[in-house]
Amino acid sequence: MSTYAQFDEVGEQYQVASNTGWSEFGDWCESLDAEQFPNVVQLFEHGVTEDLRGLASELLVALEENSPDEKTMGVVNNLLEALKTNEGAGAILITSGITPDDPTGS
Amino acid sequence: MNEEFKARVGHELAKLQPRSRLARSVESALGRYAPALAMRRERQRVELARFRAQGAYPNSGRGNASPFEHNPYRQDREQRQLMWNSIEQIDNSGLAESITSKVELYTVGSLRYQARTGDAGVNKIYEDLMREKTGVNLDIAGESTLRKMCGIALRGRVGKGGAVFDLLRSDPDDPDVHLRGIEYDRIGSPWDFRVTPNYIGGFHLGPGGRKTAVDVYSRDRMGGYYTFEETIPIFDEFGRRQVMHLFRPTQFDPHKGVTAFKTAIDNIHYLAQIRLLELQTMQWAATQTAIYYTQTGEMPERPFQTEFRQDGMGGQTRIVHARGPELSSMSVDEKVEMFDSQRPSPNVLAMFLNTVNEVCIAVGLPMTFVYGMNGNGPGIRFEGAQADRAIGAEFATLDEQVLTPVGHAILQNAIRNGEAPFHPLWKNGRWIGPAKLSIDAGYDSAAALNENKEGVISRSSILMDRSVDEDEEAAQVEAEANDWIDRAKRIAKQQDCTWQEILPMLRQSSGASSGVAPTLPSPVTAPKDPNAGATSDGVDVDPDHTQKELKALRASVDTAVAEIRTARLVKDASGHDHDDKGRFPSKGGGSGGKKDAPAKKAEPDKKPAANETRTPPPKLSEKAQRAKDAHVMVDKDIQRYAEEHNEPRTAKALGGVSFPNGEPIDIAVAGKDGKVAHGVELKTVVKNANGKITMKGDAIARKAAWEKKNKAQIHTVVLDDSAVKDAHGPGQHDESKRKIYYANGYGSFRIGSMHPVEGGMDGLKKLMNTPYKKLPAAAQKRK
Repeated sequence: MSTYAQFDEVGEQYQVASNTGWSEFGDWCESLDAEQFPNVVQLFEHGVTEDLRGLASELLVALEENSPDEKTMGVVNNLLEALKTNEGAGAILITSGITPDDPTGS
Repeated sequence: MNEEFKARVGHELAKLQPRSRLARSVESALGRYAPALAMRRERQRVELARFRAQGAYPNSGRGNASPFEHNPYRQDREQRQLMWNSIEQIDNSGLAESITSKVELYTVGSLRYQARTGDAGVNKIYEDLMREKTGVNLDIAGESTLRKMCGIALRGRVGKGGAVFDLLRSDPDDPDVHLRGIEYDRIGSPWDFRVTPNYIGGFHLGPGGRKTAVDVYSRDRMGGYYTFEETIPIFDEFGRRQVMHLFRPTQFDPHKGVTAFKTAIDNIHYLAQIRLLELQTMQWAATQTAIYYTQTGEMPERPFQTEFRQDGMGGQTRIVHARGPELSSMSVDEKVEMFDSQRPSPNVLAMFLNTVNEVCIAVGLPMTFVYGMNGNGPGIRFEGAQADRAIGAEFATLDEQVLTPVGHAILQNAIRNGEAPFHPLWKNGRWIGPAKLSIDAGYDSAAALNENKEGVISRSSILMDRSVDEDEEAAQVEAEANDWIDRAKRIAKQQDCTWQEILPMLRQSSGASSGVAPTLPSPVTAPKDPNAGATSDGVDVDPDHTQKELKALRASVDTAVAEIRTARLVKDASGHDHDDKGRFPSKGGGSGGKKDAPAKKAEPDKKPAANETRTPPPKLSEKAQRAKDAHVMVDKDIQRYAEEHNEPRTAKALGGVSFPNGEPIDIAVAGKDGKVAHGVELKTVVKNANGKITMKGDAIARKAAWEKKNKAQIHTVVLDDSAVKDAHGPGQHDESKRKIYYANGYGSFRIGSMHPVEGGMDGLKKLMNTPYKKLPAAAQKRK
């Protein structure tokens, strides 16, 4: 299940990880201090955060203080890249690339 | 008197004599019997000729052109006449001087040599050597650098038609090469109009019209007389070029150049006349206050005041002044009207500008470049391009005729003297002039960056246009990067941050933060001036503005640092440990936050339960909630479920492997040849099974790139576990209720429109190996 970063309701969509990649990212998040990195942990646990700046800063600090393996590093880089080009967005959501029932049936 | 007049105005005006014998007889008779009349006629003829500035007319008049008009003899005479007139114009006309200076400034405002041997070490030696050898010592007079000498030569090219350099090679007493600049008026005698098959205008010609030598005359500093100095061979006894002749040939058998003002001289003279006459008119108008209408023609006492002043010759001049404000009365046949001067009229101004434009056209430069940078839109871009081409052509001529031969001579001499090593590509260097002309540096820079990004032009080409040496620029960029990092480290030490956090704040560039700190404070952007630049935002060079930007930059750095510190203080208040430097340990045990130490983990050896979270469900804003409602989220619970129950099992069932990290597929399956043949985009749905797969630009592009790279197909597989997960209570799943949907391809489509797979994973595997055209229609999703 590829994982996508979705910005706002109709904003940009970026593929940030494969299913395994997101799982390993989750493992890395589990190793982080939830108090020190609340946005990173929240993103994995609840799939959403509105503090994009905080998320990017936490990812950077976490990368330095608790370097993940190369695979997870790639996922973090994808996230950072997506954040960098969507600094003005209000929220980032982790999705499966599926939207709920489409009333138009298209 | 006629002789006196000739003597006074100089030899050249003698050519203004009437050309027919009859006319000369008449003038001679008039001079004898009516000298005043003859003098007046002479003056008128001179003025007439001067008004035309003798531009293309070496004689006082010319009939229709004939084949004889363009013989070399006549051309040589005319070119010399033009040269003298042009020199006079440059001396007296600001416009002519300005054009000459601009050509010099824009063509060789800067000059540098770029060695291109392919060996960085040799390149540096060559470039350092050229920098040293092209200083003032190159000039035999010790006055000018090569750049300045080229500038003077260009002025000569524009004003006189050309310039000549004499290359003085080294000898036992002087190991260096020297250059002697020779003004064009010193080439050949100004009074020698001899034209033979082997000689013209100071140049000796050999077989095929090749120049073999040049006669140089010296100019008497007091009287301006020219006397023969020497004959210099074009090539020395070893066949090496000794004389470099800078000129712009316009035909196949040219021997000398002609001034760029060839067809502009008349108009430059007209401009001076228009300005003089119009200014005189305005001066007169400015002295007038009002016009008094009266039948007697006499000025009344009122409302004026008359006084008489004695002029310098002792005569009396009557001056009538208007008195101060007062009530006036006049009889019915008298009135006063204020003098109304509309000079210069719009027509005169238009004509003036039109004439300036004619001058610009004559010298091949656009008016916006010569007379003022007004204009907008495509027009000014076109003119900017024209100016760039004209200046580029000047530089190319200079390069071919002077710079390259001089550069080769200097390098050759240095290699022979052992000052520089020999390299097979020693002649491969090039000269770089000033930056490419631009009417809007900001616009051109943005365009160049875009073109470079798209792979249309190289970094080297962009730097060349900016007159920048690629190697030097790379070294400088490297040095600056080191400097930025050093500064960031210094601040980081002071502020208890990492240097990676500080660096983007210092650079204030979105590019600078790439991969380091993408969301740190946004770059400080100056308010846009709607009038800046010719066609779009220009470059702001306002020093006040720069100061404001610097202040804002400092403020933003301070704010960001304060934010980071505040965040840590908040944690401090919550009772978190910190070391004696105030640094928070991010790892368990308070080890000081070393990079290689593990961070504080909840339970390092035990993975928390899927539904166990350490952060509370976020309270979302209305906007974020709307976004959440519009997408199927992947939270920890779903991710762990998919990870545990679906993907590894699916990968195993299909005989593939799970792809980690950010790959655009989840599972890769090999073909019979062992190479990757299939990629699977696997989706697990635990609710909203009637939803729609939405795939946008970035994801589609990455998948397309993967397919192309691996020559494989991507399949979309949806595992509908909406009836599986927690079917018998929390954590109690029923996999027999799983539905599988399949499509060959990827993109945006409804799950319900996909082909339902029968036979579980075996059925899926079979479908994946079915040729696309034989698949059920619902499985064909490839566009």
